[in-house]
Amino acid sequence: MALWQWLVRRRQADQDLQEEIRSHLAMAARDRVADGDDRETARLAALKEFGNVMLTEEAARRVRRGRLLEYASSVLQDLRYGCRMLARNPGFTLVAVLSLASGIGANTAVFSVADALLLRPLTVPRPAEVLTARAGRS
Amino acid sequence: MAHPSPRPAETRIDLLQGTLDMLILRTLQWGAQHGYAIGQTIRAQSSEVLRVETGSLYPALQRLEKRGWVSAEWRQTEANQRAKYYRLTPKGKKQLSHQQARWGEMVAAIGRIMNPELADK
Repeated sequence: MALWQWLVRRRQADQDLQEEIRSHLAMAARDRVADGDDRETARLAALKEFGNVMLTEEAARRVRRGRLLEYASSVLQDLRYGCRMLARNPGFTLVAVLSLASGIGANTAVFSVADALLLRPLTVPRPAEVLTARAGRS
Repeated sequence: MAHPSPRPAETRIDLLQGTLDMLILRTLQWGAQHGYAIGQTIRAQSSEVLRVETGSLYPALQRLEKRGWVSAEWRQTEANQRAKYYRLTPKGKKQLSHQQARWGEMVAAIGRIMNPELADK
């Protein structure tokens, strides 16, 4: 399934649940009106009895998506939040990016020198026969 | 959206999970029902003892639908209100009879422990 199809379906399922809860509230209010409440009292009482609508939606969504998708979507949420925070503090972002860049750059430079000198065989014929010569007292 | 959206603590599903699923399936045995009616039926049938929290009911319905034990469809009520009706699937019927058997065993087993003097008679 393509990503956009998945997103569309997810949105539809969310709207479906919202409509289901609206219909629940309407029926509960209607029952109370039938028992003699006026419309506004009935509407408020139905809402109060229902409890936290957002929490119910959230719990139902969690069930529908399953653990893994829920985890993935919370990781996405964290990433979006992080990007927004970075965009909001450009000074901090600049310093962080520069220090990361110079750190990574310096490491890469040192490693390429060490790699060429110490790790790779020397670029001479028969490198095993190369000797270290040193002058001095032993 | 300036704030990270709230992450509510786990809602109270665990409390009655298996039992609630069974009660919902049982309620649907009498025919397709919408969520509000399922809650009302469980309340009335238990002489007002069991009140199903909507925060548990709707997640449970999603779970049952996901497992293929119920199927859902939008219809009009007699009062001309659009509502989502849930219906037992053949798989759900099988699950219900399985759960009913297990429930019977469990009640009997707990009864033997709580009232040993009544057992073996």
